[in-house]
Formats: sequence, C-alpha cells, structure tokens
Amino acid sequence: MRIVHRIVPLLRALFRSARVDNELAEELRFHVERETEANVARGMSPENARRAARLKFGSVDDAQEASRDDRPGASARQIVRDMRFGARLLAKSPAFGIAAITIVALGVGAVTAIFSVVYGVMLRPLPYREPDRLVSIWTKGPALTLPRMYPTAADAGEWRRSNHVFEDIALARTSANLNLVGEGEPERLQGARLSPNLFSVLGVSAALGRTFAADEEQVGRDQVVLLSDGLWQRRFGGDRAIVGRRIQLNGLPYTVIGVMPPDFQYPSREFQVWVPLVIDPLELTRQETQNYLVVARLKATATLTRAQADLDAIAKRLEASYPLTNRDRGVAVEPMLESTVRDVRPALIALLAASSCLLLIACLNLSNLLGARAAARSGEFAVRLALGASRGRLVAQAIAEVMPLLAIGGLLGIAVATFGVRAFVALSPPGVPRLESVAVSVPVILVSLSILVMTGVVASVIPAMHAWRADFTTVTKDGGRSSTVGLRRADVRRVGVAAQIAFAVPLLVGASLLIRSSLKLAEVDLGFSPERVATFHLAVSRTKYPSDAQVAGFYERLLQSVTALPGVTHAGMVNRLPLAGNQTMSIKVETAPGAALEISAIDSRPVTPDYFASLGIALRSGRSFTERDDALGAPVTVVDDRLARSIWPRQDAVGKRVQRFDGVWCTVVGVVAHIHAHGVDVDPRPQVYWSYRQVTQDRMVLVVRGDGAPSALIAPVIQAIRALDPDQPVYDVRTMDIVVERSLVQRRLTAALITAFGAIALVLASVGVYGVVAYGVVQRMREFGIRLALGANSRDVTRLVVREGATMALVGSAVGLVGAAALGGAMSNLVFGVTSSDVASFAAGTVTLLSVAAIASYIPARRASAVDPALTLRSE
Amino acid sequence: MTKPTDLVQGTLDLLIMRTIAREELHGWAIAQRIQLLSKDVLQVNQGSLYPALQRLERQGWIAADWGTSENNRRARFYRLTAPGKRRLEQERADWDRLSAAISLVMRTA
Repeated sequence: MRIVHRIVPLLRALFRSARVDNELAEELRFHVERETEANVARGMSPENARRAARLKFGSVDDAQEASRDDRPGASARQIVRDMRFGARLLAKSPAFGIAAITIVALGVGAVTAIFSVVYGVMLRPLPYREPDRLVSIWTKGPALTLPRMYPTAADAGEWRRSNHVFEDIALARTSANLNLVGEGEPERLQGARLSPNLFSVLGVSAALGRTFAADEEQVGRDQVVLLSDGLWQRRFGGDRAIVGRRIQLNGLPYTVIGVMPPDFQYPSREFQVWVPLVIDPLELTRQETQNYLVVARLKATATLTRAQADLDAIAKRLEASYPLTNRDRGVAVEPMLESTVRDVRPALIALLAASSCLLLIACLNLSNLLGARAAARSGEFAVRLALGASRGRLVAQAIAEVMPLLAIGGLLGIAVATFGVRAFVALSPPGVPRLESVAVSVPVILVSLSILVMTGVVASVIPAMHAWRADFTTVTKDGGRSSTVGLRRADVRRVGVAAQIAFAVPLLVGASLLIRSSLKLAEVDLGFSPERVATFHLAVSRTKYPSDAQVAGFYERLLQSVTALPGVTHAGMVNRLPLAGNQTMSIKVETAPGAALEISAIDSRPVTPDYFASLGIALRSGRSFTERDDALGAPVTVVDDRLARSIWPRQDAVGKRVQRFDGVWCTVVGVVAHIHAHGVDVDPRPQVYWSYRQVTQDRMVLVVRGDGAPSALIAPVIQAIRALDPDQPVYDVRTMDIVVERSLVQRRLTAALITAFGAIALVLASVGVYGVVAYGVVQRMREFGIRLALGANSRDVTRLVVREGATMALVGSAVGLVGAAALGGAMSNLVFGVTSSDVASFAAGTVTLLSVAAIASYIPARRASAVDPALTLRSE
Repeated sequence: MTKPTDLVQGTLDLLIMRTIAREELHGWAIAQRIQLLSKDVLQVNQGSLYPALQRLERQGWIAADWGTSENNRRARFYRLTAPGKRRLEQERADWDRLSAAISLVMRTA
C-alpha cells in the first residue's frame, strides 16, 4: 500500500511530465486569482489587487521551476534537454558544427588508426602461451659490427645442453622451398623447417591432427608436413580428412599430420607449410654451417639479465674450445617481440608522435571554437548565474550541450580509424610484421574514447568556467567586448592558437624532411637499370634434378628458350634480386702473394653469364662468366669495383684471388660496377659473384630484359618455362621497377602519412589563426571605425590586424622549432640524404606555416580595413 | 506587526498536513488557514508551498483531486491519506516533545 502510494506519483511524474507541468500551471494560476479576489474583497481596486497578488506570490516560473527541480528524474530530463539544446545549437550554425565535428573526427580518427597499428604491431602480445617468457637468441659478430647473426646448430645445441635459465631452446630454418604438384597448378609453397620442440616452446598445438613428434627430426621419418589454415582452406577446401593424406612436395610423398590454427604464423604470415628440421651431423661437428632462428622459453624464475649472463659464460667457453669458428662470437638475448618489430619501430614511433601532435592541435582548435561560441553567450551565462543557476548546473549544461557534437565526431572518428587501419594494412609493404594482428581492437577503442571524452570535457568546461570568473556588470553591459575580461579570454585563445602552431611546426618540418629524403632517394644511382626488366622466381626440385650439374643444365636450357623469345634481349639468373633481401658471407682476399685479409660480411651471389647484361650492370674490366666456368673448370669470381678499389688500389683486380666461403680459392676474371643491392637508402657492403655452375642453388630468380614494356614479357616467359617442365612452379613475378618500388614502400608510406598529417595540421592551424583573428576583428570593429575616422588609413588597420596573427604564428613557430628538433632526432633513422637537423627542411616547414598563417590573418584584416567608420560608430 | 517568522525546515510539512487533516483544502486556502490560525505570525511563502505539496503527494502522505472551489473555479484539493494520518500523529508527538523540551530549557536555564 505504502509502495503504491509512492510509486504512482513517481511514474506519473516521469511519464506525464508535460501534463504535470500543465496541472501545476493551472493550480498556480488559480492561486493568484483567488488572492486577487481576496484583495478585492478587502477593498483594493481590481488592478492593484492583481498586482499585489502577483507581488506576494513571486514569480510563477520560479515556483514552477522549484517544483520541477524537486520532482523525481529531474536531472535525467535536464541532461536530455541540454543535449537537445546542444543539437539545436549545432543545427543553427552548421558551419560551426561541421568544423567542430571534422576536427573531432580527424583528431580521433588519426590517433585511433595509428594507435591501432602501433598496438597491433608493437604492443599486442605474441599469440603464444606466456609470450613474455619467449626470447630470441642471436650470435653477436666480431667487434660488435654485426649485432645479430643467425646462430649455428652447433652453438644452439651447446646452449641447449649447458644453460640454466631456459625451459627449452628450439630452432627454425625459414628457407624451405617446397613445390607442391599433383593437385592442380604446380605451386611453390613458402615453408619453414622447425625443430619438433618448437611447438612446446611457443606453447601452441595443431587445430587438427598433431604437431611433430620428437623422432621426426631424423632422416627417414621426416616426411611429414603441417599445413597452415590458409593453405588448407584454399588448396584443400578445408577438408578434415586431409590428416593422414599424402601430398607431393618436391616430388616426394609427405604425410599431412595436422593443420595449424589460423593465428599460427611463425615465423611470419607468409608461411604455408612446416616440415621437421633435420640437422646434418656435420653441422654439429662444426664442419658445415647453416644458420637458424633460435627461440627459447625462459624458466619462470629466470630473467633476461640472468639469461644473458648465463649465455655469455657459455659463449666464453665455446670461444676457448673452438677458436676456429667461435672467435669473437658473443650471444645476444632479447624478447621475441623485440626481434619481430625492430625494423618498423622508428617509423611507427614517428607516426605515433605525429598523430599525437595532430590530436593536440585538434583539441586546442576545438576548445578555441567552443570558447568563441561561449564568449558570444557569456552574457546569457552571466545572467543565469546571477539569477541563481548553480555553477555545477552551468558545467553540466556545457558538457551536455557539447555531447551531440562529440558523439557524432567520435563515431565519424571511429569510422575514419577503421577505414584508415584497413588502408594502412592494404598499402603496407611486405616487411611490416604482424599486420594480421592489426585491427581497431577493443583496447584501442577504449583509449580513443577516453581521448575523445577528455577532449570534450577540456573543451567544454573551460569556456563555461570563464562565465563565473567574469564580473556580471561588465559582461552584460557590453557582451564581453573591449572589457578586461574579454581581453583576458582573447589572450587565452591567442595562446591556444600559438600552441597549435607550435605543434604543427614539428609535423611540417618532419614532412619536409621526409619529402626531401624521397627526392634524394629518387636521385640515387642504383648501379643497374631496372627499366624494361621482368623477374620470375623459381625453385627447382632436387628430387627431379638431384645433382648440381642437372640443376645447372635445367637453368641453361631454360635461359636458351627464354632468350629465343621475340622481344627478349637478355636473360640471366641470380639467386636473390638486388633490393630484395641479403645474403652475406665471409670471404678472404689475397692482398699480396701469401697475405690474406678476411672480409667478414660481403654480398655474395651466384649468377649466370648474362645476368650482368640483363640488369644493365656495367662490366669495368675483364669478362663475365661463361658456360665453361663449371665444376670442371678453374674456380672463378667476379667482384665489384668497390672491392677492387679498396683491396687492390691502382692495380688491375683481374687475376687476383679470392677465397670462397667454402675455402676454395677463386681467380678474379672480371670487375663489374658496384650496385645498390641492399637498399636504395643503405649501401653497406661490397659485392662478389660466383658462377652458377660452381655455386649452384635450388632457388633462382630469372631476370629478363626486353626491348619494350616488361609486363608484355611475363606471359610468354611463363609459357616457355611450362613448355620445358610443366611441373615447375613460377612465383613472385614482378617487373624490376616494382621490386625497386617495393623496397622503398615503407619509407614512401611513412612519408605520405606524415605529409598527410602535416597537411591536416596546416589546415587546422590556419583555421585556428583565421578564427581568432576574425573574431578579434569583429570585437574591435568600433575601434577600427574610430581609428579610420581619426585619420588612420586602411593600410595601418590591415597592418594592425595582420600583426596580431603574425605574432601568434611567430611565437608558436619559435616554440615549435624546439619540438621539431626533438622529432627530427627521433626521425634520424627515417631521413635519407639530409641530416635530421637539415636547415632547408626546418625553413621550408616553418615558412609554409608562417605564410599560411599570414594569409589566414590577411583575410579578416582586409575586412577590418574596409570598415565604414560612420556605419560602425552609429551601430553601437 | 512583527516580521513574519520563517518556518523551520520541515515544520511546513507538519502544518500543511495538520491544516488538511480535518477537511480537504486547495493551496490558497491552506496558506490562508495557516496565516489565520497563527494570527498572521506565519506567512507561507508561496514558492515553498507548492513544492512542499508536491513532495508530500509524492511521498504518498497527501493526495489531491480536482474539485470546484468556493468561488466556482477548478481547483486542486488536497487531503490526508491513511499513511499521512499516521505520519501526522507521529510528527505531532515529536513536535510536542520537542517544543516542550525547548520551552523547558528556555524557562529554567
């Protein structure tokens, strides 16, 4: 009973708010009328009676307001009303609304997108069990010149046996070319060889079937294969009966023992199949060397520091025991995540810094915009404060009013972010790791939303707080204009604009640095001519061509038939294209008879005779290889002119001797031009070439030069290969121009993104300058009128106004240059051909910003100088 | 005439309930009645009368219905509900005890 009594009026008040209001109004009206009647009865005139009644009653609205505030659900209704009012304000001035929403959307969108990428690539834990206990182990080269080398199986075996800190150590070898035939088109699969314990080290198991058993690393038992989820779906239609089936890889039957889950992408997402790693016993006795990825799981009690110390001790022992192979060989341990993301970190950090700058600019711009609007309404706020509205009420209203704007902007921002992330993933160069884990994920949305809320609160509360700092009479008298309060608020806005410029300067300087770098990169002489060249990867099967001579014979036949194609001028082969990964070796060169010098890292490539002509690499002296430089002929080599000049200055290198990685001494028969093989931007090492008949590799790249567009060569060349061997897969077919482009794509992407950020920052900052200067002009119309009336000419007025904008821009730029210097330092890895403190870039960035700021303040200045004194003076 | 005394917080509720305990009254009449009975010492501020009426109604101690006033107008008449009656009794006992205690202190201290 009691509850019903309480609940009925509450429901009534909530759901029939309007009716309650009407009833109350009627009741109050009755009260006044009854009082008037009573007054008349007391002998007053009807008019006085009514007035007295009204006076005694007080404001009808007050009574109504007080009753309403007292009603249940009042605050919720208030918020809804404020938000509706905010939406109406937006609709009333659409330009303001669009500007504000755009600012929020861009700021939130850019930061969310970049943060999503950084989170996905750099911060998200690896998809393995307890990923923070996983470490990579590297061999450190002599005298720290090579901080990370792939360890040998012998070393890894020693580490595994003697360490006290790891649960287990696993090995992987990434170069396994497996040609799948017999199930449709022949296809070359990217495979990796994994030690069976790798799965327990990473803590993953198969989605279907099982992973490798410990004894499957022995020859004879190793013909088992694990498929990636992608390959299983694409090639085998997701057939669950695949486990136990045999497939033909390189002509050998392999039993499929399992399918891995979709997120298993070790060592990277390109890998499609995994086979057991079989280690040659010769490697364990250090007679042969192969290089492996080494991953280990720390014991729960071990730390990285202890692991490093433990391995250092082992390395010392190994150095003493095997001086021949382990002299100056140290060990480096690092978190596995660190090894995965090292290469892309500088670019991502620069992007993160740039997008943070953009967000700060957006926040400042938004609060300036809202501030200008609040200034126009300062009279209203002050009156409401004076009439008894509480400060909390004003702040609540300010926040509620801005909510529709933030909500729309935020939603658009998330849309921009989603689109941006998708674009980033689509445009990303192949080298960016872990792209598969990049998505606008929940934590990222939470961070971006908190940024959004902070932006909104800061931007909306501060203008509302101005109202109660203001003195009531001055605000209401002249609406804030030309009063001290108005000036102080204008100062706040000027500081805001200067700050926007300060944050925009680093972005523009960064963009200038990267644009200048791109220009410098375009000027680099590569040493070869990529135009009119098409490239084709192929990996031959050793089951089909067991001996080196047979492999080389196949290559020769292939080159003959390709060269015979119409439109082909040269065709050659190399094991690895320039600008597409490296292969470094340690060689010795004979400096004088009997005296040799070790070169620990040199670019080394086996090639066919016509390779140099195909790529347009100039022959400086001597000759190229011939088909007679085969296993029976004398061992020969061709070196580049950088090696020739540095080792045998002022002598002919032809006839000198070089000791191959396998210990065979080869005679230099030719010298060719040095080329950019490692990267357009970096060129650390000299180059040496071997005859493909003396150093034969299963995986080669066919390089075909034509006399027309290289893309026209692709179909006929593939046909020619198929005609020769229908089971031979051809993959990664690209024109050489695209190979060069791809090697630069990460730089290009970073440069494009930072330039885009710079452009947005420039627009926002100039809108900021324009807004504040234009607002100041409107406020000071009367002053300009007076000045013009007193004899100032329009140029004086223009100068006055432009000076205001220029001051903000100059102060902001000065501060911004400090930030730009810091950002430049952080970008030293990203610039090329210019120093990170490049004066021209700093000047270009600053001057662009200053000129745009000048234009942005010149437009309102023109309006100020065109003031008609008579009109403005009268209008006041 | 002395200045009208402000009503102690909470006593207005008591006075309203007391005034309508015997008969249903509309807002204006409640104010008049309180003023009359207190010999013009207590003047009910109209701005607090209606919020108080709404509060009481919401708490379920009074109820209201539209009726016709003495001057033939539509007016809202308030009456005490059963819980209101109990509440009034309790408040009244409290008030008696409190005022007796206060006057005792005022006389003897």
